Amino acid sequence: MNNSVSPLTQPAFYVLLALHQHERHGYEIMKSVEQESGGQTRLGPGTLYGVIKRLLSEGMIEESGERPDPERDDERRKYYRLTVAGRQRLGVELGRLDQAVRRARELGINFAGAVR
Amino acid sequence: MSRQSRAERWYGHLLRLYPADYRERFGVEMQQTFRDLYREQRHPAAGFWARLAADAVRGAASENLALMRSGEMKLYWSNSADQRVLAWGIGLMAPAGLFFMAAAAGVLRRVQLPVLRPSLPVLQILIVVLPLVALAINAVALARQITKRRDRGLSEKFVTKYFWTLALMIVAGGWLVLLFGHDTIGCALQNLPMLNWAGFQHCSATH
Repeated sequence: MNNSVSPLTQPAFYVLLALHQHERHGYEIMKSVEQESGGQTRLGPGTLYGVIKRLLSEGMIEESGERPDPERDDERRKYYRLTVAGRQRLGVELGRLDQAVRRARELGINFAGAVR
Repeated sequence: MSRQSRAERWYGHLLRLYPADYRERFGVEMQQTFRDLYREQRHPAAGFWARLAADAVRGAASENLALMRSGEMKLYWSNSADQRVLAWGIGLMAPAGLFFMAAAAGVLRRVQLPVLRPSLPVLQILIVVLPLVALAINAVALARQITKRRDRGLSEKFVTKYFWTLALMIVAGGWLVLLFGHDTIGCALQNLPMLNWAGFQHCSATH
């Protein structure tokens, strides 16, 4: 596992997670982030597009030319999808989180934060 | 105009806080996302607007800072509407500087420095001349930029010049307050509009 890269920010992590299955437009990403984080992370348009801009510049996501429902959809919408680099980066991040959780369990720390 | 149209227009104004190239790239999408978000809210409460405004201001601040760091500040002021916004901001700088001086005087009035105090006529000249010099620099620079750089946007040098002018006023104001204390400055400012020399002599005698 590549540990040299710095951890993703929470919004960036959830945006990559939202795009893992299929391409989405901004509002769908926003709703997915809220759902996947159990309502704990809610992105406004300002934060969301700041994250999208950064992920685009780092080559982790890209614009998708495909539109799931071109008949009903507004053509001004832009859809985004994960790149290979983005998928790898998400894998690295999940590995890092998994390692942290396993280590915490080894130390006897449960989800409530109490030590056995 | 419907409630939705008014809301979209209001959000459009908020987006003007972002750098021009950022708006060009993401503005339409952000408007679209806002439209979806607004439709979802049957009766948008104050909290919805507060969160949205905070989100936009935070995002805009972050993008403008990133632009400044990249050394491409001039791209920000790339159209005449942006220049008007800047002109208003600059126009308010000089009064804001004077207000700051007055506020600082209240805070620092008990500070006494063991330095030589210039005579009261020198104080009068400094109080009159410094803001006038700052205003003159602002006015000339602004006029030159708006007439000559209308299509190209304001230069980084121009923006820097304004910040230096403001800094000069704040430093000068702070220096005067430290030197003379609140009471003398206040007395001198009160007598300033009438250019009343007798009033200045009175200030000198009583403070």
